[in-house]
Formats: sequence, C-alpha cells, structure tokens
Amino acid sequence: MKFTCFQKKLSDSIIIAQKAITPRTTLPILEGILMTTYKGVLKLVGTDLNLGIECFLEANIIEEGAVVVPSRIFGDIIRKMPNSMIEVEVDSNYRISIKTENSHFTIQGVKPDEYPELKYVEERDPIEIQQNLLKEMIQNTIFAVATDETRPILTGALFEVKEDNINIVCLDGYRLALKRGMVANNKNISVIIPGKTLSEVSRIIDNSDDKISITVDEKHVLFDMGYIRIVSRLLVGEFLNYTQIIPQEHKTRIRADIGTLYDAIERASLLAREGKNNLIKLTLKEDRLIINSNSEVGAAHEEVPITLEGNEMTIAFNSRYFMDILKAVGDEEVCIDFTTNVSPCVFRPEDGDNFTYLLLPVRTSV
Amino acid sequence: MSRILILDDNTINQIAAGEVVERPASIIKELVENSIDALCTSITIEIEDGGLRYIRVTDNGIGMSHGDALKSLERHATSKIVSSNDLNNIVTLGFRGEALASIAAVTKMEIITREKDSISGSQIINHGGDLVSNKEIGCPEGTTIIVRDLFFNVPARLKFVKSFRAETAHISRLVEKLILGNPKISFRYINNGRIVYYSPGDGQLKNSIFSVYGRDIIDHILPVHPIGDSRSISLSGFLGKPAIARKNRIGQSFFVNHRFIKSGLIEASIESAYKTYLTANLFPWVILNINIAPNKIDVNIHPAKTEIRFKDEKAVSEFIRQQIGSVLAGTPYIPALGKDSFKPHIGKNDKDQCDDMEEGYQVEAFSSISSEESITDDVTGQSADPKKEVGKAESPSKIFLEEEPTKAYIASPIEDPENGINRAKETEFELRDSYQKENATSHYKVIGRIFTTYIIVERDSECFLIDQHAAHERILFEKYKNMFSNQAIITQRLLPPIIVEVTHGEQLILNESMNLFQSLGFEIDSFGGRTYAIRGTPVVLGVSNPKAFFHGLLDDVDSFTQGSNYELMIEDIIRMSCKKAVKAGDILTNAEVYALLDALMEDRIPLTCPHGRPIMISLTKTELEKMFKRIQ
Repeated sequence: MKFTCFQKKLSDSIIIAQKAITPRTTLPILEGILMTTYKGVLKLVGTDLNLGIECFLEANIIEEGAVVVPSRIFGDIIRKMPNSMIEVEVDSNYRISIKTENSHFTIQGVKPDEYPELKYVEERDPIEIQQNLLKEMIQNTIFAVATDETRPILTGALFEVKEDNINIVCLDGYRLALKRGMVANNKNISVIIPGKTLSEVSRIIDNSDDKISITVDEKHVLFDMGYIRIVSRLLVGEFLNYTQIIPQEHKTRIRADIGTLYDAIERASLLAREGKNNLIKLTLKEDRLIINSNSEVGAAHEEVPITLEGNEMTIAFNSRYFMDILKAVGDEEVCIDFTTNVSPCVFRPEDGDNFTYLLLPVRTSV
Repeated sequence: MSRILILDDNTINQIAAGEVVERPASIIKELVENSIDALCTSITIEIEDGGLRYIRVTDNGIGMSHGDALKSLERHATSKIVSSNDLNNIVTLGFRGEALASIAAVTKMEIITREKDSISGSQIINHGGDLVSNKEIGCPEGTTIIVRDLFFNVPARLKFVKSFRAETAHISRLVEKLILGNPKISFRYINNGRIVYYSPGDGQLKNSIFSVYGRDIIDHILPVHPIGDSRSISLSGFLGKPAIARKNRIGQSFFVNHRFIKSGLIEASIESAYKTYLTANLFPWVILNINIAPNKIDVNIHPAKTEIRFKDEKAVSEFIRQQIGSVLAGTPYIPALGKDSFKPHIGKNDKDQCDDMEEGYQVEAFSSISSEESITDDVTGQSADPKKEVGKAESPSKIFLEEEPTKAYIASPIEDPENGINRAKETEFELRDSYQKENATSHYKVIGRIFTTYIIVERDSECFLIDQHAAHERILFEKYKNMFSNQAIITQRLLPPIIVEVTHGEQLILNESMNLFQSLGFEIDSFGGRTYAIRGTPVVLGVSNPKAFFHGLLDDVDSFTQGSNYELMIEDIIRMSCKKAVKAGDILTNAEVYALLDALMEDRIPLTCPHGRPIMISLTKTELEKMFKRIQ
C-alpha cells in the first residue's frame, strides 16, 4: 500500500477518526485507525465498538492496500509534519514508512484483518437536517444528559421526529432540556442516542447550512455528511414520557432579561461555590428577584428587575444547574414558571415553543 | 432386638470431654475458672511438655469438703447454680458442672483440697473416670488439681493434639488473657520449671499489662475510664495507641464480667472507632473489660463459654464505639521513630512473649501546642528555664503512668499544688482537655525543613518530624468536615424519582427508620409493594449520588453512628475536596510553616492524615542519646 496526500487533509481526518477511539481499551487493535485505499480515496476508521467514525479523503493512491496504524503516534507524527505532500508506504510486514522532503519515520502497523467492521446501516429514507441547526440543538441540550450510570437510559438523549418537528430531550434527574427544530420531513421516529455520540457529532459537524442525513434502524443510527459517516449503537429501552413531567400550569410566572439574570447568579454563585454547596436562594417579589447566597466566606445579595405574575415566593436552586440552562437559553427573553418551592420550575421562550427547560429545586432544612 | 442403648456414664463423659477438653489449654481454662470462682487471690499454673504430660493448678480459694470433692467428679455436679432460674443471672465463670467430670474422663487426675475450717484435706486420684484412691491428707487450704497424661485412654484424640510447642503457645496465650482479665488475682505461670509470668494481683490492670507485655507498652496505652451508664453497662481497660497496632487481632483481649470472650461484635465496634487512626490491615491493641448486668447476656452458648450473646447487640456496639471514639478523639497520637527503624540488627529477638511489643514504637504522651502562647515567646523561653519546662511537660505523664488509672487520674492534678494553679480554672473542661492544655503551653521551635517535605520541630526534649502534605490534608479535611456538619441539610429534588426495590428485610428497616432518612435529606415515598420512590436526595458538598447514598444508609442504618458506611461515604467525598493541600516538595516560607503548625496544634485534630498515615513522628532526646550510646 502506498499513497501521497497533503499533510493538512490527512491530519484533519485523523483527528476526526480519533474521536471514536477510547483512550482505555483492553483490545489493542481498537487503539488503531484502520486505513484503507480505494480508487483515489483514502478511508480512515476509528471505533470503540459503540461508536464508529469513517472519514474519506482524497489522496493519490499509488498502490492499494489496508493497514491498522497506531492512532496516537501516527496522528502525532502527521500533525507535526509541515504542510506539504506526505508519502505513506506500507510493506508486506505492515511496517509503515512516512516520508516528507526532510523527514522519514518508520512505525509498525498491524494486520487489518482483525479490525472490527462497522455496522452497515442502509440509508433508506433518511432525515435531512441543516448541520448548524443540529449542532445548536445538541449543544443546548447535551449538558442535561445523565453522566452517572444509575439509570443507563438517561445517559442518552431522546431524538424524536414527529412529522416536521425534531426534538432532542435530555434528562438527568435534576433537570430536563428540550429543544425543538423544524424540518420538512414528515416522518415519525423516536430513538435514544448515547450522549457521547451526540456530543461527538456536534463537534464534528460544521456551522453551515449544509444538510446532514440521519438514518436509523432498530439498533443503530448513521449520521452521514458524505465525506464523514458516524455510526453509533442506540440505547435500547423506554425513555421517560417527558411530556408528562413538564407542568402545564403555574402559580407564578416571571420574565427577566437573561443576560442580567445570568450575571447576577454567576456573581452570587462565587460565594455559593466557596461553601461547596452551590446553593442560591431566590426570592420572587413584585418587581424584582432577589438572589442570596452565603458561605463562611461571606454573603451575597443581588437584585434583578423582573415582571411577576402570580404569587411571590422563595425557592432555592443549585446555581450551576440554573446557569447551565440560562446559558443554553441564550440571549432570548425568557419566562420562568413556578408552582411551589419543591416542584420543578419551567423555562419557556416568550413566544413559541422552541425550547423547554425544567429544573428541580433544592430544599434546605432551615 | 433393641438397637438403642443408653450410654454408660464413662462414655458420656468422654463425649462431653470432646467439647470441653479440646486441648491442654482448655483444661487450664476450666481449672483456673474454678479457682477464680472459688474466690482465691493467687493461682499457680504449672505445665510440662505443653501440658500434655503435666498440668497443675493451685489456688488459695475456699477449697472443698471431702464429700464435695468426690461429688465434683460427677457430671452436672456444680456448686455454682441451684436451679435453672440461676442461668439468667450467672455471676460465676462456670456453671455447667461438666468440666471436672469431663477432664477426669480423659486424664489421670489428682485433687488435693482443704476447706479453710477443716483440720485436714482430701486427696482424690482418678484415672480416666475411675476412682483410684481417696484419702485424708494434710495440705494447705485451697485446691490443687494435677492432671497427667492427657488423652491417655483416648489415643484417637491424642493424634489431633499439636506439638508441645504449639500447645505451650496456646496455653501461654490463655494465661495472658487470664492475667489481663483478673488483675486482682496474683498469677504465677511456670513452664517446664521456669517462671514465665508473674502478676502481682494488686487489682491494677496496668500492672497486669506490665506483667504480660512488658514495660514498653505501658507508654503506648490510654486508659478507658469506667463510666456508669443507665444501660447498666460500663467499660474499662486500655486502648493501644495506633503506633502499636498489629497486623492481626492478637493484641485484642475482651472480657465481659471478667470472662474472656471472643466477639466479632466487639471487634467490629472497636475497629470502627479506630478507623481513621489506622491504615488498612492494622488492628488496634485493646484490652477491654465490659461490665454488664448478667441478665443482659447469655453465656450458655457453647461449653467452652468463649462465646457470648448480648441481649441488645446494637446498644452494646454503639456504646463501645462511642466510648472508645471519645477516648481516642481526646488524645492525639504521634508515632515515634522506632528504634528498629534505625538499628534493625541490634535488637535481639529472644523468644519472649513481649518480643513483638519491643518492635513497636516509642510513643510519647503528646499534646497540642495551643495558640495561647505566641511563637515569639518560645525563642527566648526555650533556654530560660529548660528544667522547669521539662518538668511541667512530664508531670502529667507521670500521673498517667503511676496513678491508678481511674479516679486517681482525675483527682491528682487538683491535689498536685504545682499544677493545681493552672488547672483550677479549667475544671469545666474534661480532664483530658486540661492534660493537653497543660502540655500545650510548652514551647516549640521550628528547626527547619528537610527534603522540602518534612518540617522539623523541637519542643522540650523532643523533636518532631512533620509531613507537610499529610498535615495540611488533615487540616483541610477537618475544616471541610466541619463545614459540612454546620451546613443545613440540602435536598436536591429528583425528577423522575429514582425507583428502588428493596428486600422485605430492608423494607422493615426502611419503614422503621424513615425519620432518619428524612432527617438526612432523603425524600422517600412508598411506591407500592416493595418499591420506593426516592424523590429527593441529600447533597454533600455539591455531590449527590442518590442510589449509592440510599443503599449505603440502608445497609447500616442499624448501626448508624460515627464510622458507619454512610458516614464513611460522606468522608470520602470530603476527602476528595482536600486536593488543595500542599504537596511534598512544595516550598513553604517560614510564615507558612508556622501557620501550618498553629493549625495543626489546635485541639482535636487527629494526628493522622485522612488516609490514616501518620502526620508526625517523634524522636526524643533520650532516644537520640541511646542511639549515640551516650546512655544505655
């Protein structure tokens, strides 16, 4: 096997394929990237058996073949090369030689036969969505995906297509994040995609209007961008019926400017963090929201102008969770609905329903 | 044809002997317990060849009349209980009336006994249960029992007896326990004609410990003062400082109403109290007497009576843990440089019992240095009147060593005019507190640091090496722990609730202790059947892990107290927040060193790091002088 290729292109592709490779594995071959040549195309594959990423790039193929290269060292070598033509040649013993004008490396590769094949997902009837929309939807929900394995299903995000609506829902037991997008598709799908897959997808896709096509079968999902294909196992199980847990009614509704609210909470949380409990207390008044936090270092008092409909009340939250949501909401004006100080509060947009966030309060004994 | 026969007495006795007479040590145990029950004040135990050939137990107790002596060899003959009602209130060590008969069945036994008021005594010789001779003789008052040729008539059992040496070791270990358990009785233990142990029997446990373990260990133990209690249970004894902890439980002796017993319950309670003071796989050295009303225990479990059942295990366990915990918390520890760590080849290992002890470390009764006295003072004060300083520092330890560990310890500081002045105003403090404060006023001086890790501090005639990382880590740990315990309980609500299924047993516990769960910040509802919904979970320093917390608490809700799993789980979280501690190799300025020492010297900071490693090591002037052979 022998090919030449531009350093930049090869390096970029390696970095993408590496995203599927876990740093810790007991199966040594998974530490490698499978490199295969086709007519005028080089394919790189990385996988951890749950997630697989294939990258295609143009290359000048001189002799066809396949090899598994050690991912980290090969990636590092290519990355440090000057941006010029690189020649890669593999002999029959899978020794890989990497040459540029002034450098020459030889490293040992592995026979490609044992490299696991990625699951083939037949692209029938895919969903098409703009990459920038998908990216935004993932980024604004993924923070709420559960990180502990107490309830494995919650380590995934619900990916739901209902006719022209696409919903991504994440839920970790303390908060729920729901983001809606509109895409002309007219399909009905509901699958649970592992959080890790989605966050890698959001990192790989561009901020452009280009479409990405998504195909699901019973057990797998395929994200296809043409030159990059991401295949992932789905989580099997029943996601929570999230519509049931979002309260439809409220006793108190406030409207506030996100930027002001975020800054105030961030300042108050400086002290909350010192006390190691991230606890902030919100007092909702007629025209203002009072934020209090204290620790042995001192006490913070912040006031934010709001408009309030309904009852005045006091409620406490984990400031970190609260800020995560405000960050995801962005600069939009937001309505926050409260019922009691032990029931969830709901963040909704002023108009429309392109997001819903739900946050559980904390209760203190004093 | 009738197949079922009633066994003759001899056979019955031999079968019973199987339970009672396992090995020579069991014979000695039974005989000595008889002697103790006979209200003696001195006991001599003599053995030859691991007790297989010859055992003699002589006491100066009340003795037996001729008739009683004969009856004593019959099975279920006892003077200790009269009716089955007495089983609930056993105050003697024996009561089954089996021992002598069982022993007699498998040995050649000779009983020589005289009651105090009798003119003459009796001698009874019995071989394997058959009376050989029975006559009147002159003898001192009390009882002597000589047992020869164990298992001479049961060769099958003889095969299972170990070597002379192993049996001797068993007996020695038993005698140690007997000595420790009976400080009021003077023991003399003779092996193959040589006196091994002698205890004075003056009622002072400390002297008994001295007899068994030798001088060194006396410096390394803390008294447990008996504290009366409404549950009619009290503890006394001595706790070993962490430096003399062992790799096994051989240094642990427990007595319930002066009966030596083995008890997993007590072991576990003690070890959990020691938990943060010891590294893994080390077991504390402990001698503990538990005095408990006889009707609260059942000793009639096994013929050997080393097992015991407490009526209220939970209460006993908690009581022990608390008492020991408070003794330990009141006394910080500093391991000293082991002599052996400097001179590994000099100490010769005689085959003496106290050998292992000498391998231990010198621990000086230590103290905190309070912030009352400023550092600038010491630089001048150090040389001003060293003698006075030394005397001052030592006087409490003298009290500690010499006085009767119970009341005298409390009384003497007040009687002592020299110390009385300082102490008078501190009477509201616990005594141990004032003991620390006394030492606390001593001066210290930072000599410097070595290997950018260890701070060397000189105080009086002692020098301490302090691990800066371990010390700082402990300080932070205490700080965060305090912070957590002062914080309001915070409950993070969950949605959806976590559904857990519990076993029936757990369900009973859960229902019973729902209040405890709630008070710690859980919100739990019944979810039908054996499932429960956790709707809220406690947050510990920002960390919450509902399922683990729940199960951790459920597992040991029975014994929920300091040192439980739940507590440990929380401590783990706290420990993780200690990452800010300065590391070995970090360069500290002088001001930082003093700040660290001041924080460290505050009261009640345990002198081990949260992972159980020591924070400081002490080296006394005397030890140095010994190393340099200035003194022997």
